[in-house]
Amino acid sequence: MGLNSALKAKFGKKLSRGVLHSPLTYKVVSTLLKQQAGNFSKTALYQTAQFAVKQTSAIYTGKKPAVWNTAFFPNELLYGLGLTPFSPEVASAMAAALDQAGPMIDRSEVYWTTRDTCSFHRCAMGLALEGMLPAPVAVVASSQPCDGAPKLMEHVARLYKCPMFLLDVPRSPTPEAEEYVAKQLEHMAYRLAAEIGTKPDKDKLAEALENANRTRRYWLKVNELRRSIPPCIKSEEALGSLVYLTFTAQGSSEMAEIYRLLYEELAARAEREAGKIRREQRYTRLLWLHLKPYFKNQLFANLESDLNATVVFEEMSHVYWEPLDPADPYRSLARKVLSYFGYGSIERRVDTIIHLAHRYKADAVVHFSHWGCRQSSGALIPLRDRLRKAGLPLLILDGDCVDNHQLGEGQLKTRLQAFVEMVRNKE
Amino acid sequence: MTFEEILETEKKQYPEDKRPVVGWLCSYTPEEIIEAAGFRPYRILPRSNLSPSIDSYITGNLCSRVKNCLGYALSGRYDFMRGIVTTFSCNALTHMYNIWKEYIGDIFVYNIEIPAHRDKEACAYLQNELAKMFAALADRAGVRPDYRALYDAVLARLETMQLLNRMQALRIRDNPPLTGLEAIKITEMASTVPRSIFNTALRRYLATMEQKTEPDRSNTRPRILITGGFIPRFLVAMVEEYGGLVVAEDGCNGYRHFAGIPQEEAGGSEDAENCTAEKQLLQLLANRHLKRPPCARMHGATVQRSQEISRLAGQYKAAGIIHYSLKFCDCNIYEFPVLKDKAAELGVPFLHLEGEEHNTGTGQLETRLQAFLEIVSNFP
Repeated sequence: MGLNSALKAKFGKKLSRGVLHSPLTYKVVSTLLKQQAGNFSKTALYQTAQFAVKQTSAIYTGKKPAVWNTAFFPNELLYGLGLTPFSPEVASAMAAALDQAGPMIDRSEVYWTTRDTCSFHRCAMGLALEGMLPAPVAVVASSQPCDGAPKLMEHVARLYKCPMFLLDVPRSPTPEAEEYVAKQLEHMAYRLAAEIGTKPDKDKLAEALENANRTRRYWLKVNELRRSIPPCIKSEEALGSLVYLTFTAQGSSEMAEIYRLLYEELAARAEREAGKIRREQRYTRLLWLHLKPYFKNQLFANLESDLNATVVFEEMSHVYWEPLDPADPYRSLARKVLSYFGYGSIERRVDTIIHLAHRYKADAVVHFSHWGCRQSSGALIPLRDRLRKAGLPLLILDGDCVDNHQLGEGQLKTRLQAFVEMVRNKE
Repeated sequence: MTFEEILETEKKQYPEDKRPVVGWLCSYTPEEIIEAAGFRPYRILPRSNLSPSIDSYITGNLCSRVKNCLGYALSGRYDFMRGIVTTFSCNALTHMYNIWKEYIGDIFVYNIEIPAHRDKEACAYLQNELAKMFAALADRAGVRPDYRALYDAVLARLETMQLLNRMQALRIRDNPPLTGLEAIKITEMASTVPRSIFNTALRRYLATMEQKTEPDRSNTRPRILITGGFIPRFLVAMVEEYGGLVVAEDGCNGYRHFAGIPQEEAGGSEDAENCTAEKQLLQLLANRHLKRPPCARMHGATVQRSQEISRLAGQYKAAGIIHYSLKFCDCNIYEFPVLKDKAAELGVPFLHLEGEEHNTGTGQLETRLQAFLEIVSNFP
């Protein structure tokens, strides 16, 4: 029995406010995890799951002050202030994995009425309205990458009667934009610290940035090893546990440690495999854009088993930023957020994707178009045309990451199959 | 005489405007800079929904305003434009910029960043963006940025704002001398007709309208405030066709585009007249944009917009509030529960509608509107 199935069996329909806020729950989950340790393909992934449980437990049981964030907010700032990030978008993914997203989405639709917005946000709002999430001391949002997330946070702040801070990130990385973002980060640090009765501590902030740099170094090494054939990390893992770290743990010592462990595991495995003559099955190599469905599905499994295709890398795993400068934290974090390629002019995204496709020897590219996501999907046609010119076919796969009613798995499989056949015939 | 008739007579008095046209979309675009650089600013307002062929250029889940603009451009209907100024103010407009640049050739595309904050730092940032825009547009026109011309453009637009505010004041009356449809047409024309012609025509129109005494019988039609992002003309027409009277359009193509004249500028425009220095002029423009009633995409807009509808409902004696959001416009869709609560607090019936930039004729919207107007008419 897999971990999700074990969790579902244990809590299943009983998932409630009481269960989520009880320390006992996390003891049980941690024990379940230990029992399942052998089923994890990598120790680092097991450690990630334990870290997630520890972090979630501390927030739900009130041991650590939680600050809700949105994807791409620089969490180094929160760790540097002794605050713990909680991502409602990740909570939605978790709810989907535990088959709990449907009722939460229904709940939020009573509030919002529309099905055309992002289901990460609808589910999160449903969870919040049902009291299933831990109360925040404050919420932070980044205007990057989407319009919806800061608006969701306005509702969250209203619901919990807590302050909301917006990091407004321009789409063009100019020196003036850097100045503008750095000043916001500095003001935000003081105001967030005031919320918990402290002042920003320069040394703690520097430590968080050093942790992020350490993570970055190992992350780059991991990414280098991912160029191997066959791939050493499954995309489901990268877009599952590891993306949890991306959105909640940058700046923590734990993430740095997990990436060190991951690198060492992969490096050791690569060394063991070195020199072995392997009869390689020829897989069609795909680069994956955006996220994946988080509820139970066979999409990735089918790719390998039925279609002889494999995802070799994801744009979400790309380390696009330069090392941070612990002596100049605000400006340095401003540079990091401004260097995100998936925001603003499509040229940066096109260049990055072509670079990644070459680096990971991808034959083709798949964009998982999450319904309700305007920022990732909006310019897919020029993206497709540019990639075509670069010799890279792009499949636009319409689906939903959280709402399983929006995903016709059979249809997706058929489209993937036709695409993979087309790519193979082209070779 | 109707405003259109006055406008036609005025147009004959002026020599043909031969300045190259630069299109723009978002209400945060500083038209004054386009004008000062020697171009004729022209707001892109497509008049119909386009064929599904646009879907081969843009994905399905972006708003119809952006799709229609692109569709018109792709069909060659904007070939008369020399360039376009876009803004990175929301996801849809960002991608419109990407698609326009990719597929619509032969015209220049300039983009400015619009901050979501409205504090001192945001103002300084926007000021810099405006300076860059002025330099880039002047360069396109083959001239140097002329701040005297910018000063004139700022004053001319200030006059437009003041005239439109006078027009709005007429709508506060118990018996407004103009309908909502007339008002939104005039407001939209302020962004498409050359400034001097428009101002002269509106001055003449208001001189007549302000003299009009109220009819004996008072208005019995329910007074409706429409709020949202882009307010479609068809909606205003439909409300009035079904017996309502639209008294204010709190949208980016309605009153909001010309609202929020800073206190120091209202009345005598002394501040603008003193602002001949480059920095001061740009600061004034940046302030004017950031301090006016916000679009839903601005930080903290939801709360401020709910206060604004409370103010407008009171000022215009609205008997009902319609919140219209374009389908797929996250900024407007997400704020609707807060506005609904505010309307409940005010005791004013509230209707949320989601739709396109132009009527798709599905009938559902008409039915909901008719039912709402019946409720409003019978509301104590």
